[in-house]
This record gives sequence, structure tokens and C-alpha cells, in this order.
Amino acid sequence: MAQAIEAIKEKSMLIQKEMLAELFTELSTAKEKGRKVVYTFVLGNLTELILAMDMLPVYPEINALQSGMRKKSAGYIKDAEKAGFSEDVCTYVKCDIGMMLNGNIGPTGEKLPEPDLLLLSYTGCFTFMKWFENLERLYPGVEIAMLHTPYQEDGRITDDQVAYMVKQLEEEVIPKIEKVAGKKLDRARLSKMLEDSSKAEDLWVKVLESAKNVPSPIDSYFAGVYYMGPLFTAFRGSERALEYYQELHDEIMARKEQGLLPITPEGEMKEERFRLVVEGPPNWTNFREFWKIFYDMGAVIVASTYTKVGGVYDQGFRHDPKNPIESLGRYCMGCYTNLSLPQRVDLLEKYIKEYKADGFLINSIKSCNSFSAGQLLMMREIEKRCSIPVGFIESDLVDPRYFSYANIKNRLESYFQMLAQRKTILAQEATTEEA
Amino acid sequence: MIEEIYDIRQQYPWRLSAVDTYYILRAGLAMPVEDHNVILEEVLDLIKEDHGEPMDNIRVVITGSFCEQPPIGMLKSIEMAGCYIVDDDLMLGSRWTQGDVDENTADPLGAIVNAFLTKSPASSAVYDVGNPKGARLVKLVRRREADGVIFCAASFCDPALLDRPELQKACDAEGVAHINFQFHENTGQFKVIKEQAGTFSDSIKLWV
Ligand code: SF4
Ligand code: SF4
Repeated sequence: MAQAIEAIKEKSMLIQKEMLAELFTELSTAKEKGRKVVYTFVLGNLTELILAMDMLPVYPEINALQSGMRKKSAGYIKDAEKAGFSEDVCTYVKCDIGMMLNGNIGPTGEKLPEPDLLLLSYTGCFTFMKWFENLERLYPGVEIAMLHTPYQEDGRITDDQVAYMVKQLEEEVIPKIEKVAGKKLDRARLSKMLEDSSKAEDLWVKVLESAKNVPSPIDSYFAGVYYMGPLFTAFRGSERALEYYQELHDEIMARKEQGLLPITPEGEMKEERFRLVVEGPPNWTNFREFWKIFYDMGAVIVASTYTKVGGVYDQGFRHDPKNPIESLGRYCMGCYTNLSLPQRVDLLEKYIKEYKADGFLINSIKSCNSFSAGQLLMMREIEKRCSIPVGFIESDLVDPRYFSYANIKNRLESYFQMLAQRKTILAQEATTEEA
Repeated sequence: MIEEIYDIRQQYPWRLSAVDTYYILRAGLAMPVEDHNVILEEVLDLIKEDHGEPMDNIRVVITGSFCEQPPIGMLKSIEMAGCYIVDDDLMLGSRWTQGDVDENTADPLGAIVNAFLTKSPASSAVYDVGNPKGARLVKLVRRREADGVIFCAASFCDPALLDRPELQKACDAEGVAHINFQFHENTGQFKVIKEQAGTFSDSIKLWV
């Protein structure tokens, strides 16, 4: 049976692989075929709007993380530093700029087309704006559309904020997209796409929530970053994305029913010793090694905040085909990086309780101030509220100079020891109480 | 009045050190504006009179600290290393708009918004690709007759650090000398900064 599940698993992976290959082929021929190319960011993206206009999106963060995984980022970062960028700034930006300085060769080895539009619809992190200011300098005269997403300072989305987003979308963003695309937005088509988005989002939430099961059939962080790909990037709203999430959902539900554990690059996990909630993005340059430290120790990530950067769907948000523009605005404002610190802590507490976590771990990213600011406070709050062991490690997104395997492994091993001791004590206490 | 202080300091920087100027401006954030104005008037009276002796210092503009402020020790070290700081982007809180907000209007909120939109000094917090910050920095250097620029940003300040290459490029293109320092929340050792600022000052004196 495990054999059959393995085969099904491969099918969803295969679909995603095909989708990506098709996208990059389309991108490489975009200029010949007259397709317009939009550079935009993952966090708070307006993908349905881009796809509804038959434009092709490029996400600079995804290029950066792919460069990290393909071991290209070190060279790109060095080149950006040679061009004057400080050692301390966001390494995604430096990696992306370095890639452009080196001919803008994308993950498939083909040159990425130049942008026809820079669509800045960022959430939570000001660095995105500086990033695009730099891109604007690399592509002088390129069209720019900007959507300013107000931060959830009061811990909620207000009616005024929604009205502000709708006004910007209707008066600035959509007219600019229409100008570049050379045609009017087909609103019925947009609504249909949002309907498909919402169906895919339902399935995605079921996948995420499968990790509430003990044992969890998925690793919600290391595998989660693959699962979230189509929904968080170029495919949300497409039929292909829906097909992918249906397939993924069916596989995972089958695994859950059979009590199977997560699949790792070295096969299926055999034992779930620790259930963790993780805050912060992963490291991409040593992703496999990093993941291995966890699965070798029987540690499964049951929930993570990183898989919410492209939407906190498990807390109820869905794209709404009946209110397309408003729901795009609400979507941007609801992404994890746009939440206030108290909201983030509440969410983490909820995850720890609902997913029956044994521990909480922070991977603090050296060059990402947006994520790192406030993490020490989070640690203290979670310790206080949940009384579980809290761990803290440091690495970087795509700068290999800041991934120290030995340090991270040592820290994690001590942390897992602490978790094991606590489990023993809790088990002893339970036995004494029963007696 | 603040602008007048800067104008006088441009000509006679020895009359009021950059560190003292900084203290005076910073005090303005912690007291009613009327009380602060009295202090500014007194300062103006004082620096309108000639006192002190000019030294063989170079004149620099500091940029990159529009938000997180550098430690005072760092400003002191730069001054002690032989640099008159003739303009800066420190304490923008009180200098965010250059010139006055339109007072004769029925729409005071609109006037404030307009002043911020049209009269903000160049900084990394401002997005204005139509009015490049590099050119504005060079213009400021020329107006203040400065010999060079000191880039001085917090190590965690992506906005300032991501603008730096472009600003440096503009300085290079116009032959404006520049040097770069970064500081952390708890930078307490300024010996290296003093030495580097000293070398920067000497090289300008020698070659320019
Ligand atoms: S600082 Fe962090 S959130 Fe901001 S652009 Fe860089 S990686 Fe993204
Ligand atoms: S990153 Fe820079 S601009 Fe942003 S809050 Fe910090 S010091 Fe200020």
C-alpha cells in the first residue's frame, strides 16, 4: 500500500514540476509572443489580476530562493556587494540584483524576460519598496504600479482600510495594468478565477490541518514550502492549481487515514518523536541538510508561520468571487507579515495548542528584519503562555556565510534533548496522577 | 530658525559644533514648541556673533541616519577627526518639511499633506524616482560647499543601505569624495571610526 501512496505522492509533485516548467517556457518566449511580463512580490500578490489579463508574473523572491537552492546565491550576493550593497541588508535583494547583474538567468537556465510592469503590492516589509526602486534603476522607464497595504496596527482590518485598498486598486493599479496589457479587465473572468482560488484554498487548509492528526502525515514547514508554491505564486486562480491541490489533498488524506508519517527526501519518516511549531523562514542554501537534522531526530513541524506569508487561509480568509476587488484588498492586508506582533503571538499560541506541539522553535534570519524584529518578545510570550520549551537558532535565507551547520546542529540537539527530558517528566507525572 | 542655524553653521561651523546643534534640536522633541523657539532664538543670537577660531577641518555632509540616530559618540568622533558636519539628515522629525506649511488656507490638513509631499528633504524614506536622491545629495553638497559625504547608517536599516550604492554612484560621477560607516544599537567603540574619518579628512586636505 505504501508503494501506491508513494506513486500518488509523485503525481502531485509531477503536476507541480510540469506547471513550473510550462511557466518558465512561457517566460522565455514571452517577448516573441508579445506576452507582457509583470515583476511582483509573493507577499500580498495580485496573481489573479495578472493572469486575468493574460500577463506573466515573475517573483523576485522565488528567483532568489531558487538561486539559494541551486548554490548560485553566494556568487550573486558577492557581486551585489561589489556594486556597493552592504553586507547587512536583505540577502534576497542582493541575490536578485546579483542575478540581474549576471544576465538575469532564471532557475531553468534560461534568461528571464525584462519587466513590462513593476507591480509593487508588498505587505509588511518596507524593503520591498527599496527593492523595486533598485529594479526601477536597472530598467529605467519601466511602468510602475504601487499598492500601499496598510499594516494591521490595531490588530484588525478596518472599513477605512478596505475602502483605501479598493480605491487604490480601482483608480491606480487596475488602470495601470490595463494600460500595459493594452486591454480592459474582464471582471467575469477575474471572478471565475477567484472562485477557483477559493476552492484551492479550501483544499490547502485541509492539507495544513491534517497535521493536527497524531502522527502528522505532513511536515508543515519543510514539505509545506513545496505544497504552498502554486497557491502563493504564479498559479493561484488557475485550473491547474486547483487540479494540483485536489491531487495533493487526496494523497495526504489517504496518508492520514493510514497513519503514515511525512515523506522526506530520504523516504518516509518512521517515528514522530517531537511535534514542533516553527516561526521564521527556512534557510535555502542548505535546505536538505537543515531538514535532515529534524527528521533524523524524529521531529515533525506541525505548523509554521512561514506557510502563511502568502495568506493566512487557515484562519478563515478566502478570495471572494462576489466581491473581487475588495477581497484582493483584504487578502493583501491579511498576509502573515502584515499582522501586528500581538496577532502573531496569538496565532502561534493557537497553533501550539491546536496542533498539540511539544515545542516552539524560531529560525531567526540574519538579514530579514521584517521577520526577526520582535522574535525575542515572541519567545518570552510563548514560554509564558504555553509553558513549552522554546528554541532559537540563527541562519539566513540565501547567504551561505550565515548557515553554520555545526552550530545549528549542536543547538538543535540540545533542544531535542530538552524536549525528550520534558516528555519523560510529563509521562512520569501522568503515571503518578493515575496511580 | 533651524534652517537659519544651519545656514550660519555652513559659513561658520566652528561657532556651534554639530553635536551641540544635535542636542539643541533633539531637546525640541521633548518640550513645547514655544519654549523651544525661545532656545532657538538665544542660540541664533549667540552664533550670529563671531567667536571661536576656524580650524583646518574639512566640511562634510552626513547622510543615512534619517531614522535611527547614530550614537553621539560617533558624531563627536567625526568632528574630533577634523570634519565640520555642515549638513545632515539627522532628526528629521523636526525638519521633515523644508520651508513653511501654507498657513493661509481653508484646508489645513491638505496643506500639511501637500508640504510633506512636496517639501520633504531627500531621504531613503521618500520614494521619488522622478527626482533622484543622488542628484539631490550632490546638490546639497554643492550648496553647503562641502568637501565630502559620510554615509552613516544603522546596520539594520535596509532603506538607507539599499539607497547607498545609488547615492555613491552619483557622488562618484560628480567627483564628490565619500566614506562609509555603519553603527549598531550598542556601538560604543569609536576609535576605528575616528581613525578612518581622520584619514578621510587628511586625504581630502592633501588631494583636493
Ligand atoms: S527583509 Fe525579509 S520580508 Fe523584507 S524583502 Fe527581505 S526577506 Fe522579504
Ligand atoms: S529600518 Fe531604517 S527606516 Fe526602517 S525603522 Fe529601522 S532605522 Fe528606521
